[in-house]
Amino acid sequence: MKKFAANVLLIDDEEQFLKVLEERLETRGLKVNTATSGEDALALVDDRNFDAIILDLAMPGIDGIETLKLLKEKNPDLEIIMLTGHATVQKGIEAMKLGAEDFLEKPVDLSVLLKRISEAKNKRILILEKKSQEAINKIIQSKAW
Amino acid sequence: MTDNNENILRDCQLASLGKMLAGYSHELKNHLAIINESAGLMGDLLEMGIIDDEQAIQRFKKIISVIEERINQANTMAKHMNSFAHKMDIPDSNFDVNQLLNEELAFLDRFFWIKNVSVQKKLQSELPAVCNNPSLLQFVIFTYIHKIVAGIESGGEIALSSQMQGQNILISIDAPNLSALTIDQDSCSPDAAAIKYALNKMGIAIMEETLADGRHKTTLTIPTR
Repeated sequence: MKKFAANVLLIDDEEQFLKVLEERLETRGLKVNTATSGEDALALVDDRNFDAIILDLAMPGIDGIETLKLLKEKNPDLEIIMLTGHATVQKGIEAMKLGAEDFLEKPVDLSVLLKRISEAKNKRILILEKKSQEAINKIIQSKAW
Repeated sequence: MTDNNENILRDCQLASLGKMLAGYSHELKNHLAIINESAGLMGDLLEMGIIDDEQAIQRFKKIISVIEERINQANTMAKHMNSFAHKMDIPDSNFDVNQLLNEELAFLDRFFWIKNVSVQKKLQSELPAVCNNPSLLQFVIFTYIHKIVAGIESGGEIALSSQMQGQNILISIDAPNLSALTIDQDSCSPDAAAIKYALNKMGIAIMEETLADGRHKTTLTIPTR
């Protein structure tokens, strides 16, 4: 079984789904946090960093699209993958416009999901590196070195 | 109740049918996802060596593979049901004719199987999208082919094709049994009347001809713009 490290947040109102997917991802070396609502997820991203967030679309309370919007408002660099049984072309377009990285349909092939998580993690690393570089350049310029 | 009220009632019924089916198929996919991940987890546990007995491992692997195979089949059906349901969301939208035809064949598969009818499919790839009423077109093609299947002799063959011609996409259905297919002007069959009304509403021309080998060919001409 291929293993890799990544910090992932799963958001889905189906607890059984969360539990079994969490276990499968953890056996592959990933560190997994779960949330059963958009509200819980928003609280979790305040004090933790995630390489990828896997978000369901249809949830009671704040739905997936609204959660996506609020998560992106909090932190535009979050890599969010929509994973839903409620996939439609319109919802897919809406999610991508709001900044979702990908839009996957349930039931998903785990290898596909792992690949997307890995890509999201790599992209996030690149963004963070670029931001650090920009910050360094800014300091250098401000000091006129 | 006036005819107009009847039409409004029928439209509302269709819209609620679409919503019911869409919601149901979405929920089905959620259940399938949980079964899928549970079967996957059993496979993971076997791979991690929780059971020593090689014979038992092989038996479990076989069971998991059957579950996964059936999940895939049920998922394809749920996808078709979902796509069918969402076609009623907006009357006019852009859609892929070949995708609609493939979905139609999936819905008709059971009827083909019962009558032992074989289907030859020849769909031209990369057809442009069509802006029309996909739900209505799906109704027409389903009703039409269903009617053919009802009239055809067991073991017959139906050919379905799509191709681009000028600015139009042609859908052709050819089948051996002329009598079951004829939709003449005087027909009082509700199906035939509904098909003609729907085609007229969508601006789709229908042409029927008898081929040299005696087979009957029906061609629908769908404008792409």
